[in-house]
Amino acid sequence: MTLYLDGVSKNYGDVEVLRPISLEVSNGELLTVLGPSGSGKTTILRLIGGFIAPTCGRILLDGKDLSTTHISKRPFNTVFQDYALFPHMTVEQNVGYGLMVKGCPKEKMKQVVNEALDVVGLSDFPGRYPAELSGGQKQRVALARTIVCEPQIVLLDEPLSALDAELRRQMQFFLKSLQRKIGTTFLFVTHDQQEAITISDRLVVINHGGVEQVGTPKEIYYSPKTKFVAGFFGDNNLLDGQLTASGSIETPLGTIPSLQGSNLKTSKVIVAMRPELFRIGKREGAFNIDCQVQNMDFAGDMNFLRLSPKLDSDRTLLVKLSSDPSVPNLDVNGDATISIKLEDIAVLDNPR
Amino acid sequence: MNNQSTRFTIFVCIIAVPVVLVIIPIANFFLMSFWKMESNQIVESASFGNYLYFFSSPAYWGTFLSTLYLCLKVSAIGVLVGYPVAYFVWKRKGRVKYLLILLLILPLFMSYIVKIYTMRTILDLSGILNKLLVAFHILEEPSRQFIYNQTAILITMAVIFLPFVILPIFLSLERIPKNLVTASSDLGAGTLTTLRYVILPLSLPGTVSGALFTFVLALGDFVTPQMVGGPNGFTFGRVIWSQFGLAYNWPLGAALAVILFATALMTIIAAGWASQQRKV
Amino acid sequence: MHKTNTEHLIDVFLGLITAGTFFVLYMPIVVNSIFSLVPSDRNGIHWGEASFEWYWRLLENESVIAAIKTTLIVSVIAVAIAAILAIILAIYVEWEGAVFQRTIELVVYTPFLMPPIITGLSLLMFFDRIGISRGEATIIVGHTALVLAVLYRLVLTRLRAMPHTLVEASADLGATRLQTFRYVVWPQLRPAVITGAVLAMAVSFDETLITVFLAGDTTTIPLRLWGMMRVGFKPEINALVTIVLLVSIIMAVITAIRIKPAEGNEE
Repeated sequence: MTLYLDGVSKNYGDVEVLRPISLEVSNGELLTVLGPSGSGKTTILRLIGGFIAPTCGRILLDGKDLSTTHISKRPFNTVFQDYALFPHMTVEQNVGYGLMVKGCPKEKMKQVVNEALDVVGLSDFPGRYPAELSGGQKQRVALARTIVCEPQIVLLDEPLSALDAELRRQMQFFLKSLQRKIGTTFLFVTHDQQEAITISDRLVVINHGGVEQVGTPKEIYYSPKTKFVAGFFGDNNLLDGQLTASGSIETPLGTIPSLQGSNLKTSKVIVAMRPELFRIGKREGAFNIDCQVQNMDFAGDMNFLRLSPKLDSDRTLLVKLSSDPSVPNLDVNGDATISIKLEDIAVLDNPR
Repeated sequence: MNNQSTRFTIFVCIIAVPVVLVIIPIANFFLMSFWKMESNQIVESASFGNYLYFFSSPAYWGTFLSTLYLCLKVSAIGVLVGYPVAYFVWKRKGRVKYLLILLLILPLFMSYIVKIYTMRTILDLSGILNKLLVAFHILEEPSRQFIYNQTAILITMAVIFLPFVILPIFLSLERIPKNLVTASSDLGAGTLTTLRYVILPLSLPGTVSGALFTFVLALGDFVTPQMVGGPNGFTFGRVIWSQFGLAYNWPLGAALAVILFATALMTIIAAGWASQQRKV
Repeated sequence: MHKTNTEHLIDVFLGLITAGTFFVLYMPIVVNSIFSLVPSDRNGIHWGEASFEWYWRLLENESVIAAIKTTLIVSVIAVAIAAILAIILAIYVEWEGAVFQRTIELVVYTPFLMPPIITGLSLLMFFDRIGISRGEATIIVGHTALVLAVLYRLVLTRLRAMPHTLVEASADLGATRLQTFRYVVWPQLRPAVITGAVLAMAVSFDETLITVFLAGDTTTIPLRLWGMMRVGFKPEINALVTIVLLVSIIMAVITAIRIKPAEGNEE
């Protein structure tokens, strides 16, 4: 199965909520659409699900255009943000709904529903009503309700946003293992970067109605292609730079020698350096920065170090060092040189 | 599914019912108000004759003005009696309050015609009111001053429309957050001060709109004046009604109804405006 | 909380007004039920001769039985039509992004907000114009227009409280529009429709001011009562009145009990 969005866009009147995007979803993966609220990520999901029609473009499933197919006829099922469980039906009736409306025989239905409840770990309460379930249990019912329909893709619209932090982590793990077990493609929408990185096989980062970058969590994290992506995930140190003819990059903190395999399009660039990739002390073949220590905060498993570079003392660089009780603290206001390996530096185009 | 013409067809089918039931009949009688009667036949020639007739005959606009005054009195009595009752019920707690609310709502369901009939029984020469007044030596002998005149209409309307004033006042009191009242007494204000500076201003919009709706109810009534008003107890509603009965002058009745419609519409708009002024 | 003397006095004073008001408001049921059971004449009330005689006599009165029949037929049909219309209109206004939404609502509410005489005479003239003679059918139309507002309001409130994702979820799981209505929307609306129907029936049973314009030779209970009352005072009237009042009180209690839990949730 392959789902392909071909230049799909959505306008409401003059408001463009989704610029034309093209995107491929392949079989058996857990693909996350990630973006801040109002970025258009839920729109993508609703377009695929058929709740809204695209303004332009086509939605192709194995080459067949789905644009005119009604919601009820699409081989996709949605897990809604508010779960949308039918309040007047029991867990069993909710899970069996998709089969019931298709006229599935009672015996067969009961069997399939029981299997699904087993998979999500809810076989103990088939007779309960949604109001009698906890948030996590409702979530599981919603999942079971979609998987009995054997969809080609399960669409999940911020399904964990109503849960508290601890339950959320449990459900992230549960979702991922469930997806592995049944092997169905999951398309997951969230605004939580941590969640996205943790559970996804691939990520699509959306901002202002357009795709910023598509890639694996590691690619997105360590090799951002845009300034937004570089700044959206965790902490990062961003510098403006200028690409020279020789291929090296001039930055306010010194020149970075030419990098292997970069294919930059603009001469203005952004240099991104992850705080946890720095080491204390000068190293050969690395980008070394002489700094003055501003402060050092102990955070249990980490030390947060803030430094001002000698060459540009108004700037603050953040460095994360894994905590080690045998290493003495650095002196505040003392000098320190930090280094980062050249291959750990991400350089991206800065079209503005 | 999103086909424009299909949507338009559905739209037309759906709104056809309210249009046929409401808009066309109203438009029809507006139109008829410009026609006239000639030797018991309705003649379809447009003129302002009916309206001119209304404004030039003191009997008609006199009745109109006195009806407005009557309805105003009905609303005023409603508020004067209804506010204390609503306030008293609002102040109760728990089961007592729920029971009292139920008792407030029940009369809304009681048959309108029966209420008028009972009022007639009570106000009649041999009615309970006269019997009581004589028994307490307030009157020497039973009096006819309570029945078959404008006073009878006023008393009857005030009683039968009272529940319609109490309920909106009660609802607007319910809307006032209890902590505002607590805050006021916390600041040292007594019951009367709190009532005057907190409760009255906050419940005023609901009270006004309740009174205005009652005004409209009284304005359109024609059974009450017919049953307790006697031969002289004419109100504007009864005058209109008689155009469709014995007097048989539909175009004139339509013109008078247009005037009633306009008055009611302005009152309803005022009531809507008043209820939008609420702060809580 | 300790109450001062003034507060106590105010409470007593307001309590008296309230008691007096309730006394006046409940006079009809008390007075009528007494006089329907106990005969009275110029010489006073004969307490010892109480009987259900007048109720039995009512059963033999053909015009009363006919009026009861008409009233029931009219209210059942009018309420049923209005309920269906209210559901369709509410769904259309709330979900289909209706054009002229405000206007439609205003039109629906008009017969309820305007004095009934306006609705009555406008329909009378309209039916006369298009040549429909008055009878049960015209009364049904008038009552439908009136109770539509009640039902529409209740259905719309319920519909607004229902998450639209339920409908999307149903379609998503493969249900047709009809299945979604039957299995998801209707179970959600049913309580509101039943409450609205009881309320609408109560309104329809009692409707006089519109009905009198549209009835022609047909007669309903309120019209029959009105007619009997014009003639004079009879225990037979009191018996009918007592029945009418009891029925309306029962319906009021049903409505109050059904609406109460919803009010509780809001607090």
